[in-house]
Amino acid sequence: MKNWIIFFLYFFLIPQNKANQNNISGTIIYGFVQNVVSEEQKEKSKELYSFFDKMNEVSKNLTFELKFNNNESLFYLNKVMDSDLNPMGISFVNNIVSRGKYYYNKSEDTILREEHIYGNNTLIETKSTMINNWTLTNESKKIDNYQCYKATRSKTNIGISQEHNFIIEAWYCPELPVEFGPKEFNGLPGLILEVKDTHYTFFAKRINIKNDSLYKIKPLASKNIISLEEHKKRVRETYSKQ
Amino acid sequence: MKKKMFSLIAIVLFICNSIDATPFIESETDCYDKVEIAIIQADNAGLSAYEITWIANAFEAHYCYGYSWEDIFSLGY
Repeated sequence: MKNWIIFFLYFFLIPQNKANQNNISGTIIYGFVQNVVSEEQKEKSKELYSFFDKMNEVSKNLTFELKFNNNESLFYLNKVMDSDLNPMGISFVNNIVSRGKYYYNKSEDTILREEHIYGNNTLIETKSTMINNWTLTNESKKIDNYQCYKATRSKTNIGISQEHNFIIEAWYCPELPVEFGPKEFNGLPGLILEVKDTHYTFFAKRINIKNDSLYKIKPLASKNIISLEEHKKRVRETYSKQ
Repeated sequence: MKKKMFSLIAIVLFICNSIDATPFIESETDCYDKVEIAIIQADNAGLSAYEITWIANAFEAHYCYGYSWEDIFSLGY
């Protein structure tokens, strides 16, 4: 009898559980807010931050969506019904806050970022494990009743005359066992519900997880694909000539 | 002669009105100073080259060509 119970558990319940794990998908709506800037910094760069204040005001109602299934994710600015009424906010968010759409394929370890550069629609490709070298910490906090843990990694921005290193802080939730997140940030043992990027913080506003269906995600496509290394090389070359 | 005088005055008044209605565009030096300041501040703040260029172009269109911020972006910038 005991053997029959083990047989039953092994062949019926465990595979069922595995199948459910494979069938996880969801959509997360993220808001964003500018990172805190000291008064001293604001005073030093009045023109820039007053421009940012103006742009933040017109884009405050815009949101991003992260759509994922068990293997892929897509992160993009949500379509807005009144997009014609708010071109300023949309342009600012596309060019400064998010820098395009992001597609991630976990099994291929590939991130594609879509951007209108080099005179056309270009995909910038990178390996996720090359950039997402996270350091996990024990620091935790609750986000929407989920216990989240902090992880950090570095990120370099290539400016015009200087390069800046930033520490990125991500809050991931092991209760939601998918390794996706906003923008190029992924590869943690749980969904990223909040991430402090170089100048903006993205935070989950609505979480919708499904265990019984798979969303189909269409990968980004373009004839023009370049590697992140090649893109960085071109940027450095362009600005060193000026 | 009177007619000519009136025409001349009318033209002068029209030009003055037009100048008054044109959005204020700063002198080239002043406006490019503002663009330069924006570039330096954005570079110091750690923005990427692409982002700095985008901001510089917006500042140039606004301060040097007299476009309102709304106009710049509604033109698809």
